[in-house]
Amino acid sequence: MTLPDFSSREDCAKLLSAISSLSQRSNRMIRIMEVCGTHTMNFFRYGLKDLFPENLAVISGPGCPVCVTPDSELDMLIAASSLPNVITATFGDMMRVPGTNSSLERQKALGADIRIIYSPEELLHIASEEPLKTVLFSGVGFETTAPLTAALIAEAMRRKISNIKVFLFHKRILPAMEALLQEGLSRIDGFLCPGNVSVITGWKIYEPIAEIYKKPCVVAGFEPVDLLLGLFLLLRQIVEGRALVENEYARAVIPQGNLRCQEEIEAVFSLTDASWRGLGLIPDSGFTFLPEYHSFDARALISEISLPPLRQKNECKCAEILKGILSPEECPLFSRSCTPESPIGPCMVSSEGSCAIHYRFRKKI
Amino acid sequence: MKEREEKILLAHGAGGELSRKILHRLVLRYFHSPSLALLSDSGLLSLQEGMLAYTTDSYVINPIFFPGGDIGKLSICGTINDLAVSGAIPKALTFACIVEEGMDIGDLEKIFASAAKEAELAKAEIVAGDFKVVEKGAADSLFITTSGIGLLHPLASLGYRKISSGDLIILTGTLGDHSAAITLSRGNFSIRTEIKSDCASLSLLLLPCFDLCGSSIHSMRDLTRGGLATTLCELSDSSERTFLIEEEDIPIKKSVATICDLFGYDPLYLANEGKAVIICDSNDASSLLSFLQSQPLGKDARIIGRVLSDKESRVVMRTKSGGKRLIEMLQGDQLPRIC
Repeated sequence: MTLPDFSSREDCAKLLSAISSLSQRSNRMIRIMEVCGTHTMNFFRYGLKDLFPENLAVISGPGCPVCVTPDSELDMLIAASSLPNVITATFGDMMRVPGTNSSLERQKALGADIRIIYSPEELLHIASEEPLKTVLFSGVGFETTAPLTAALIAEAMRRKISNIKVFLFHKRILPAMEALLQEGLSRIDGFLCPGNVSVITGWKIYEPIAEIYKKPCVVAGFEPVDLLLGLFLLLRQIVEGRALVENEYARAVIPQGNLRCQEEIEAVFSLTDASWRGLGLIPDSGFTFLPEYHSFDARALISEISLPPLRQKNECKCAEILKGILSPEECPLFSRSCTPESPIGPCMVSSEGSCAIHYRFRKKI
Repeated sequence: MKEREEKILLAHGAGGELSRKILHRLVLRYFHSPSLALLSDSGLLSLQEGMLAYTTDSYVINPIFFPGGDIGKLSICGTINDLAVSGAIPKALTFACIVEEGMDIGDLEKIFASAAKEAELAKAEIVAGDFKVVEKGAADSLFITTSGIGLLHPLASLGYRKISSGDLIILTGTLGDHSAAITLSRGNFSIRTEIKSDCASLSLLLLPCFDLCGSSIHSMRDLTRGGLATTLCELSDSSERTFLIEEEDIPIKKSVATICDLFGYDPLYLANEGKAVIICDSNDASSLLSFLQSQPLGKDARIIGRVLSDKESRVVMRTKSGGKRLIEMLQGDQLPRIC
């Protein structure tokens, strides 16, 4: 099967003109939140942002998993990575994220054994090759990556590999969207929902957002045509005063999602309250181990260690930026004391972080 | 005894009997240079009059064997390419190794053989070298430093000051093959692809370009770390010109594009080891392009953009979807130890 060209210039031009005529039907600013960091990135990468009508603002939400990981969790990971006989296996994105006093990158330079991996599966190899060491993993990410961590733990259990320990920092996207709406500060007219998360969860999970909060939701993919069609569908609902869940990414997302992945998660984890950077504690927004898997919990490694007291990053506006209240440029540190080379908040580090993306594309054409 | 000899020992680098043996087994067996065969302290070269280019580079790539090449081939290609894009005909090379104790001698033989083959292909003589062994853990298998001397092509007159409005930007082939191959050979992925590193000496492709239209070629750069984006930014910076490139015209293999999607890489920033950009006068661009496309190493060459009249240093890309994007230098998110 060959897929159509999702970056066709003609299709993009047609969609942009449709978006423009829809937005003219509104006499106010329309604010659409893209919940996913990859959406934020691709709006810039494809050069689409400059082509939007003036009264359409596309703002980034809490959709960068690294960015929403709070200092308290980062400090746990950094402390555990520096223990003797511990090998930390991590995705590259986590390396430079600053905790209170250090980062994984810095601990590596000081001698900690920290290895960048691309798939949690690699942990099984490392753990079998180094049976006398503890192999540490931080499960970071939304429902997109949570099944991988669950599968890793289930497989380690099956193979009786007991030297793998995992921090469960995974988060669920829907409770965060609801928390934003309950706070009511970010004046969102509609959500462009993440295609990747929705592959796993299905699109029906957004129905409460449409039904209870009356905010239209459109699940969108990541190619230029996906993004523009997603915006078009949202704008059409907004100007027509409707609030439904629509699925632009039908080639990958079905109403119920990927049941096997959901089962994988439910077999190993249960829901728990989780703490988010900027958003605070959100009920049922994270995961914990089911009792039979508790031996994999990395928190046991650091139960005896005192973690650094959390500092207040007064100037850093991560919280407001993650909530879509401020844009990165409105933070007093942005591109002054906070840059990708010396980041103060994680939003400036991760490739999906809105500050890092706005920094990279900060110069106007 | 035999078995012990198959691994590198500290004594192989100590200057005694084992050093002499390894020198014969590796250096003299593979590198056929009259000057090197004398085993004196310096290699002697006789060069005719003219301007010389002289360059050096170190290679720390991990893994040392990868699809499309190995650290030996890479260490010769890299230095040959630095000479070639300076308009210099490679003449002499040096080859210095730092080897980790315990390395397999059979692997070293393969690496020396492929370095020798690559140097011969580029008609460059390896005139001097060095072989040091360090304790296990003090290096990762093998590090190589090469240097090269080349004679400037009589018709080459490169300089960023010559880059001017209306010049065309030619890319000699597909982007990202090297980085994609290295990424895949490092991890334990169940991805089966045909992707190979593009590691190649470009002297035989690039030097004839000067015969064809020497003074029309205003700049030439190979696209290693930082990729096409970083190179164009540097050229735009030093020439104080705006470059406009067309995403649609930039050749990228489908398999490489897929790997980029999977790993979140931007192909514009990926390292290449056998690709160059040429900025040349528009009058000669099409004949240059036809020549490049007639060669195996340049068959995918394309004109990807042009130099605008604006005297502001910036690189703009018109995206496939019709938007415009400012291209900036790489900002520290590249794969480490790629070359």
